[in-house]
Amino acid sequence: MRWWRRLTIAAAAALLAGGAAPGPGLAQQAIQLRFMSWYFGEDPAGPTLKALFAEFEKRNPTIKVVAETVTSAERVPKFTAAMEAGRGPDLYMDTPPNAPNLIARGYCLDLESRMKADDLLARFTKGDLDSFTDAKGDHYFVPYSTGPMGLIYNAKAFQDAGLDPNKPPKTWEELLEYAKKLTRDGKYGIGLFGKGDNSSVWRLWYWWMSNGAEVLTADGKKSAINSPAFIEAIDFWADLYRKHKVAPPSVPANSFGENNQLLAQGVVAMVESGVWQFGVTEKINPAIKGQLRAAPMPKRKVDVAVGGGTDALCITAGSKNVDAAWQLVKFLSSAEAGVTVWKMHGKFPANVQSMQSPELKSDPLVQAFEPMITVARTPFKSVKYVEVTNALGTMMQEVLTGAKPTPAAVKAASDRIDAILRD
Amino acid sequence: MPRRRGRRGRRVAWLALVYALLAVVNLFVLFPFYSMLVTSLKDSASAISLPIQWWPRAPTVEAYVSMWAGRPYGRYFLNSLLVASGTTVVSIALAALAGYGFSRYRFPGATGLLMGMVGTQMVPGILLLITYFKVVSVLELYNTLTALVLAYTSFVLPFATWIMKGYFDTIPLELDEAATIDGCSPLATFWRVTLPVAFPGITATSLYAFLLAWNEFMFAYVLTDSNEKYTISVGIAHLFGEYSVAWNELMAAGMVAAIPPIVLYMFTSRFLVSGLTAGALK
Amino acid sequence: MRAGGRRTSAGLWFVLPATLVLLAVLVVPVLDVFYESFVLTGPGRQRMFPSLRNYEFVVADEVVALAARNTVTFTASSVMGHLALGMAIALLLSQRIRGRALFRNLALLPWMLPPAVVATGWAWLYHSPFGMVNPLLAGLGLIGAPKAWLASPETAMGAVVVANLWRGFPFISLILLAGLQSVPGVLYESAGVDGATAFQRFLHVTLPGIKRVLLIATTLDLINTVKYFDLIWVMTGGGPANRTEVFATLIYRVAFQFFRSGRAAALAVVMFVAVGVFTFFYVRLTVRTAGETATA
Repeated sequence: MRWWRRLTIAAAAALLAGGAAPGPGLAQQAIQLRFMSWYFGEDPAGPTLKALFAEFEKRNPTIKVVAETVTSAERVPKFTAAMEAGRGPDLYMDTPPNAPNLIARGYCLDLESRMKADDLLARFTKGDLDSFTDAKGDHYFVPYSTGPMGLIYNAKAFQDAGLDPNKPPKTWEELLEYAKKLTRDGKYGIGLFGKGDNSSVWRLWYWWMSNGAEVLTADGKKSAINSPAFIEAIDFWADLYRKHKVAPPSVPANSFGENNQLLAQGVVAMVESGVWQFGVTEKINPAIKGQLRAAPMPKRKVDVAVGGGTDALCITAGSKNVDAAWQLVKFLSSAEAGVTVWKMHGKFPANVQSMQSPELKSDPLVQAFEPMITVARTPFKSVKYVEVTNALGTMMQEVLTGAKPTPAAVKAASDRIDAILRD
Repeated sequence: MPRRRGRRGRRVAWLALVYALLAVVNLFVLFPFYSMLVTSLKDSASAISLPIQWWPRAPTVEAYVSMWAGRPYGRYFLNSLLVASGTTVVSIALAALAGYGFSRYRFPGATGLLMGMVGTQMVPGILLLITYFKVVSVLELYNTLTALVLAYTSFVLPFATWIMKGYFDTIPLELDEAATIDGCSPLATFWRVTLPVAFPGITATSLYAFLLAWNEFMFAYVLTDSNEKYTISVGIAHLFGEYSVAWNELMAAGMVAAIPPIVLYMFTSRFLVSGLTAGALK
Repeated sequence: MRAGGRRTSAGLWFVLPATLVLLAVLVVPVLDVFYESFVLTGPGRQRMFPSLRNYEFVVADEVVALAARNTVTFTASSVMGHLALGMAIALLLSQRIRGRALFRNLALLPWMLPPAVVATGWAWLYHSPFGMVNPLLAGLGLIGAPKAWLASPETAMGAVVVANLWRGFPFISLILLAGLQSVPGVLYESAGVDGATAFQRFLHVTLPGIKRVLLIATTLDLINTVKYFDLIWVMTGGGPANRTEVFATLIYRVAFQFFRSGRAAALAVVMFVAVGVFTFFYVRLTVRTAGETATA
């Protein structure tokens, strides 16, 4: 027989066999929920979620939760690709910067009515909730963990420099003074984030927010950074590196990863970060356990903390198991789950009632961060968040390295943001 | 007598110069390897301590051990191997056929087609990626090794075809004609007569294709998104962007990743150099 | 040298599979991207066709202009450096000396490394303060204080170019070496008899002899360097402050971080055309010279 005839017959046989086989799922009772998050690639974030899944599955035997990992940096492109292909997960986790875009593209379900019906809105701070709304004010994401940023400092380094660890700096001037005292023998006072990436720009917000400046106008249509308050804030921050040299020379290349190492090895004594910094730093250098403390960042004109470290969940528009997914969402954002989040993950639960529970209330770290949580907010919401941040990152590097004088760099960035928002 | 000694003296001076220059070149080539090796033998604290330790005070292989715990390098290597092998097999099969066709036959549009194939070199990979990204999502090939193999043919196949054609050109046509006279069909002639003779060229092209695919970064970076599917290049790049950059582990990973291509080259350098240049220059 | 007219259709069948595959993976995407460059995307999922706004952006945007300048700088310095280094090493390796094979293999080492490894290795070398470049240069008395090579706008591009030189010269030297070895020794001997110095021999025998190879190597390198992404992306991500942003990294950013598919497509088309200019010469050159050899 000719070889191609043999092939055709074999192919036909294979097709028939495949079609006659019993299909999967007919005998299955369990509902499968696919949950996509970068947490599963991180420790202890991932194990915490999985422990909560296990508890949820115990209480809901017909539901099984499947973890899908993405990297933090690539989660948006990957999620977008999956949704466009029609094979998106049932639940997806993300943060305030990316939410407006995802909501605008129709990937997430409007959860407003469900949240109202089950009284979920009362669980969270307004700052956390506001990051995840559409133009009408409907809520699409339910917060899970929250992370205001404050000053993380090394108490032992303070003592060695003759500073009182119980008296962290309360003003910008004090911060500079402390940093100067801490800078000696190859060590530096403060680790700045100058790389220009998302993490770095995120830590920059505090400086101009605290000085009363804004990124966008109230309607979100134009840039508001070309203001004296903004320029003053950027200059003060940059001068820590440029003029006073209380930050390491590698600042323009430093972001979260680099500063984790520097803090863990005692090369810098202070960084601006969230409560997760404790777990991360201790993992790198277990000997540093017990030396780190937290306090609100020094206040300038406005009492504010940088929010935006909120990780929240949405149910995707393509999900076929919306009710089951909603059960999971309610459980994960409950006060009870929140206690687990704090104990295992080391990040604050978004549920404010969790914060009032006895375990959390007595914890000194919680007490240190609580005032920050109440005043935390994200600096701006925009569908073009990534591009605006990119422009700010460029500006930050120009200012740090002196490539452009600050007013010129800020004006250029401001014009650029206008152009981004316009088109 | 004096003249001969003068010439000897010049030759010695010339040799000394050549060796000296070669030494400088090799220093330049080896310096980064040295840096990577030394760092990979330090513990995480001394890797970032000052003053710099030109040789580790307490050399340790802990980085080589701990790196496996942090990331599934075995998986990365396997993925690179699968993708590179798949690309090589597919591309060489198609390239050998096409190269033979261009070499042995005249048909309308042949020159244009060949020029077109070679001309595809100029298409930037990032341009193709814009479409690939959309298409793989729709075809449910996102984050698959299959997608990578298909994508890689875009830059391996044209070049391989060109080299194969050049190589076939060096094989006398009489061989084919003899087979034809004996009654062989074109395919049989190709398969049974010419192809075996072209073995060195096939090997060289295959090795080059393998290396090209192994070292590829950009396509894999965009088209994959999970640890199960990363190739070794992408895995290391992600390690670099991690939330905690452990330099000694990163350098250890780099050293380990460098081994397969170097080993491959060591065993096949004869074929590679001669086959490549024969094909490329003709 | 070619088969007669009887079975010319067989030739078509031989090239058909490869042609189909290339149509699918190359021609179709190019057409798609060309189309996409005329589509204007709005917030959410709006699409408007046709529109020239994407091209207006390409022409007017300052970061695009900067990326274009950077691409030219990066390409020109890389290719010239590759040629100079490659030529020098090819000359050295073509000398009849002991250990030639060993030196040749050593010189090829950088070419074999995966680019991600090259990038991270060099990023570590340049690291301030823990990398080796700073103490080395300080020890040699060439610099005063440690410099952040990859993080300073003035030095970032140069630093990346040096890393690219290291990575790329071996392949060029390989090609040039093969070319050198194909220059008939007879020519050198007769030049020597005529009393030519080494330098004169180089100028009048070597260079003309490898002219074709030189041209091929240069054009190939030009094409590949203009498109280059890997090393730059991993080492600097296009920074600091866009000082190492080249076309490939910019297109990646616009397509996969900003999700402006129309703009990315327009940028890609422009880049394609620019590369096409160079490639046109490459294709004409290689096919024509191949034709010359075939008829010889």
